[in-house]
Amino acid sequence: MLPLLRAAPVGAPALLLLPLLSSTPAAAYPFMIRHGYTGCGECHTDPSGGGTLTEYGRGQGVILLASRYGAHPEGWEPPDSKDFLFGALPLPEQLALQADLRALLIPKPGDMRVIAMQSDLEASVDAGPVRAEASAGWVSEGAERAWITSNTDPGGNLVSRVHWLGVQPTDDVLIRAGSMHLPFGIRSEQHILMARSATGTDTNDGQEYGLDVVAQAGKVRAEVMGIAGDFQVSPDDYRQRGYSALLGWGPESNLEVGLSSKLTHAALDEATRVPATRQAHELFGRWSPTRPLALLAEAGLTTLGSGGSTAVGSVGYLQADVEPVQGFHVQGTGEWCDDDLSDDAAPVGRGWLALQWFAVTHFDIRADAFYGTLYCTPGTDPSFMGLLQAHAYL
Amino acid sequence: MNLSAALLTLGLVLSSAPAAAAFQVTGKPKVTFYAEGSPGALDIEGKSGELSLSDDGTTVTAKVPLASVSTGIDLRDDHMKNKYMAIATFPDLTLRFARAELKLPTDAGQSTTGTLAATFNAHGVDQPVTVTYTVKKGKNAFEVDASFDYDISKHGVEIPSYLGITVDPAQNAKVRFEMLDQ
Repeated sequence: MLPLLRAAPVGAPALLLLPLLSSTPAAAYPFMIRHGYTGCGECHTDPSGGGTLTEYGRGQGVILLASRYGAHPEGWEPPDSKDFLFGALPLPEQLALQADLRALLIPKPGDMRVIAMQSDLEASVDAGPVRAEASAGWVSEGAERAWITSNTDPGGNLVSRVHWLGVQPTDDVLIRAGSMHLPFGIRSEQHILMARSATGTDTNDGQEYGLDVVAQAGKVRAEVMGIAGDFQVSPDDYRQRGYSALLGWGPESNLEVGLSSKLTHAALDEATRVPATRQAHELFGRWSPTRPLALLAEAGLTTLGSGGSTAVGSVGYLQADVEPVQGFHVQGTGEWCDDDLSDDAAPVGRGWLALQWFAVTHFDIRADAFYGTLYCTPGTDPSFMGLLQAHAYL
Repeated sequence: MNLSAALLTLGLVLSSAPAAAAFQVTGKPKVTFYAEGSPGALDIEGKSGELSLSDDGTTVTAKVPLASVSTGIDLRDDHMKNKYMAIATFPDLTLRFARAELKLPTDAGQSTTGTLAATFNAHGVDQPVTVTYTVKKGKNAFEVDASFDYDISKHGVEIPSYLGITVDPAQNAKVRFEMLDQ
């Protein structure tokens, strides 16, 4: 069996792009549908969300995301401190730079750990028909599929999560190639959601290389990506190839429903180490019945076809995000996952309570408490878990 | 049937005598102005709960005070009202149409649908619009749903643009309310 190597020599497409550009696990906030944002392209260079903020996105970071301390004076506008390095380094309008820092504390008695999840420098270019985005950074552990170095000793690794180059033949269409987040489900920074891990579509290190087309037509957004494999993983047998696609419809300003579909095949599946074809097909929805409340849900089926047999599973969640005052969020989430509906192992579930406070522009903190299992591992006993996160972007 | 209901019913019955009748809003009207921003798919809804009708027997004028319209974001409201719509000079949005163009159902439970030619005034500028409407005769009042498209740039309003997001000047207004004709 071929050993799986992380951080293969970066593939040719990446070599071409990395010197030009340089991003992050997506800090995409799908609860923004409460403000009429059924899509993501207003605030992010990536039309499907996450990563580098546009000028408008940085403005909304002040106007809508961060806590307010008193009324704004007449004629108030978001200050220049919303910008890169608090406005100390003015940039041409075609260029956006951003630094994202995210640290995680796992307060486990006797085994307290601090993980540098993200310390990325991101850049994006939006110049006429050309749009591009790239990131480079360092993680102390985890995010293996995004490594561009291969250090297995303490000290962490350099990572590049996204690097893509695209053209926009029209304002509503973007065609791009490179390493990207996969178009699937509801994109958020909560990469440990089982709907992400069980479908291989998280934004921490679930990116793949490929060719992608994103289009917006009225209230419909669509994205299809042909997956060529993760060239930061080697040998080639471990690279999965296929497609991932998403179709979303926002009939109202406070509602989006959609479908996602993904199919990939690898000569050696990373988990099973045998040839396998994986599929995931799901429905998703976001709805804000009243401004303080945003509901997010995904539900779907997964399949793992290998050695002549196919295991069909299911995964999904319902999440309620409540924002009683601007900047302070209370999230409750219920998840389930079953990797094989036909076997005797009971599906796993997880209850999740989170408090998130966007205390000031550029900075948020978050506390999570779970009861359940970390991954989609039926048969595993549930347990309590706690996480503390701090995130800053410059 | 209590006295007020009886009087309302009588009012509806008497509405077949147009000479003395006049429309007036009752209940809680819902007025929404829809706009989209791009790039992306930003949906902007300006909502108001204030609508009044004046009716001289020939021409009906619906009026929404611009001050009552809210998009849900304070700064955006400020931009809309002060920077673009010049609320100090043009405080109201109005829609005028000939009363005779609005076809009302005669029996309770019945509905009429149709279109009528109207004049929409925003930013002090009149523009012709076509209103699509449905009127249902309820127990106590007419239930009205109406909408029309308009182009804000034709009203002399600068196309709003903010931090790279531009608002489509082609917009839509929807209104749902109950009215009496008495």
